[in-house]
Amino acid sequence: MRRLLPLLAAVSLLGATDPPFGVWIDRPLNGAAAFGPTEIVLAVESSESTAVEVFVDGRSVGTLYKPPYRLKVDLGYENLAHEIRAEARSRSGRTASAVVTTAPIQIDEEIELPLQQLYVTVSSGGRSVQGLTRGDFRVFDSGDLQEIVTFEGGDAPLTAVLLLDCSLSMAGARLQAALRGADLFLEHMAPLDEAAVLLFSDRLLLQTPFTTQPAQLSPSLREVEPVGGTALNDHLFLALKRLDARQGRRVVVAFTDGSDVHSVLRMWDVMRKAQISQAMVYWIYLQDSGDGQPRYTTAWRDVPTNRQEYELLHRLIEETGGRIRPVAALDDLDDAFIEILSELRDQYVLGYYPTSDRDDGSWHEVRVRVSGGGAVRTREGYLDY
Amino acid sequence: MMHRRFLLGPLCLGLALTALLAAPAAALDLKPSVVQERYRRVLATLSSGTQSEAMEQLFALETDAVPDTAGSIQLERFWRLKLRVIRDLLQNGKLDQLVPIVVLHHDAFQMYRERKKPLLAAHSRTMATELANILADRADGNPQVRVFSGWVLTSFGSYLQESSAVSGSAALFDRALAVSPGNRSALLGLAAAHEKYGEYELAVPILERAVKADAGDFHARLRLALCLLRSGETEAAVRHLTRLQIEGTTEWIRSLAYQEHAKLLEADGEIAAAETLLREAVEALPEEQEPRIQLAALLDTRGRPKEAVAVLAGLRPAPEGRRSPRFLYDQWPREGVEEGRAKLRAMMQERLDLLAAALRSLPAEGVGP
Repeated sequence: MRRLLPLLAAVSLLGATDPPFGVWIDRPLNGAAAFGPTEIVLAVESSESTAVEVFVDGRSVGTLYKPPYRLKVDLGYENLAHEIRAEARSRSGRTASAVVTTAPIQIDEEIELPLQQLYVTVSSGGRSVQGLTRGDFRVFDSGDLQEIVTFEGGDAPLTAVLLLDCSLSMAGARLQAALRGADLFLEHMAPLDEAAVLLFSDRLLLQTPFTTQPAQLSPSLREVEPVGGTALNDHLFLALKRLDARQGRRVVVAFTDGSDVHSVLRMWDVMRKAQISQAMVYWIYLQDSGDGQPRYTTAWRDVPTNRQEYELLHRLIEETGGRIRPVAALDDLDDAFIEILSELRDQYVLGYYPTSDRDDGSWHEVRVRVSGGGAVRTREGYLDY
Repeated sequence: MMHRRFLLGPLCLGLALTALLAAPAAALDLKPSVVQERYRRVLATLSSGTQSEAMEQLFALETDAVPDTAGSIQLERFWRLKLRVIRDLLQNGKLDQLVPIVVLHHDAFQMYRERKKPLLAAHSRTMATELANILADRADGNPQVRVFSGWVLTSFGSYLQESSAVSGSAALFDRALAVSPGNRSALLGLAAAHEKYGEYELAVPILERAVKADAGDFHARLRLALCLLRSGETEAAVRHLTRLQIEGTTEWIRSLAYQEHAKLLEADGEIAAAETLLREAVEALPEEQEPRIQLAALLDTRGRPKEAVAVLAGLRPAPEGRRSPRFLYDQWPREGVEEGRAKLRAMMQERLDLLAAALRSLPAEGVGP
């Protein structure tokens, strides 16, 4: 079947009487977009010992000497085409090669994957449970047991948007502490992780591109002066939207010292976005000025509506599988950022193709069970579009 | 259309003097005669045209006389001592000569706030507003003095608004409008106070008054549109919003008119109309972030994520100093207040000679307690 695919070039230099010999690149697919950590999967047909050297954009990235012919490479996150070439040479000197070229995506192109990914935190007695295998999990989508087709432990790369409140109330020590916490988060990311930072007040003040080089982000962040009010809803939507175009494990880590006041979007609008997104939302909340329950009225919302917004934010966070991390004092901020990063590292990433893929905007409730017990936290469901 | 909560009993001179007689004595750090003598000196310095020096003398007098821990009885006694000097001045001249004294205490309020003297700041506010009320009550046939009083009350109303003291500010705006009905800042301030309490029906007639007085007052028209909307007067609200989208001269006002109109359409299920309106907003106001975000959310959550990305591609971080329409709307409408304060000072300058003449006619020694 594989050999019928016209894009998988196979070259055999043998005569009709020779045993078959060839190499094919099964993944990534020719013409498909590929970014970041990528597994190159080869198929080799040979009756003798064969070495396959793999090249990405003309550079050798490794040689495989025996099955499985699989190699992990980092293609980076620049929106570029990549040429992947495999050159096979048998012990007797027979050679074959195959080439695929991945394509860049248009900037406004969405990557639509029916694959549902769940980021699952398992804990027991307040401690993360590690070492579980695919067989330990059972996933239910709308009540139906699903086949887990992808499974990874905590080393799966992540993409984060750090969403930092830069309103006037953050001036001085608060903003400095927030930036220090963000720096720590970025510094502790793994080499294949990537992040972008978004600073906001009542308006978007600064947004950086996604990068795996955190050092590039820090200087520009410190040029922003705290000013104005807080439009958390609008910017949480923007953060989730920016993660749409990324692949793999996605997370928004928001830090504010207050709730939304000045957004054009209601939290309900953001919730709908979160329900079709696969990203998790974490909220680090500075509670030095109370329990966070809004008791204020503005020209836009009265106290009950402000409270409703606040409660919806809580619900959104729970539904995405994230959590709220209250911080009592500025000195605890560093710990909060690092704690969230550690928690992300300890998550299991389960992928499945929903058996009831309806594309009708209906809500799919998701449940995950783990053998041997333990508390499981993951997203509560998603809207099926 | 005055709300009960906002009622402020106008304090007239008669009441003040009644209080003078009834209040028990309380010790100050200075003898009454010294207080009165030094206060007269402050006023003399003021009348000579050196207001900053007068302010420093007032600061010295008041901090010497009133301890930081002073209670209300001490403050009232201090106030009555100064009021005796003022009453004597009134007996020897025109009502207008009070104007510089009111401005002195008006400006002292800000000085005390800056110097972290909350007790004396509150005392200055009380003095200035009560004197303004006295002026207004006795200003029959002197419209300028009523306008002056209206500005003093509006200025303090605005200060209170900035401190989120909504009820107190509304009472002052209410009183300002009673003495000076044409004061636009007081109209906007009072309407904003009603909005803050969710009393949109009460805000509507006040704002209609402002729009009727000046059809080009787009800020008042926007507030009117939103209060109508929240009162369920949708048709009238949409009329104002549509007009603002076309005629509004300020970007943030136009932006909000688009945003709120689109929200209404979306809530009514008129998604295509909301989208058209927001696309018009994005084109007309390319620097405005909110219509883009609103349009992107509308598209994205209705299964059109690629179009949402295209809309957000034009989103640019806000230039320094550019605040969001909702933030600006949520700020207390201070438009014209600084202008009003400048008018107060100008009126003071014009009346310094009157004050000087009145002071010269006072007996050499102050009046006893």
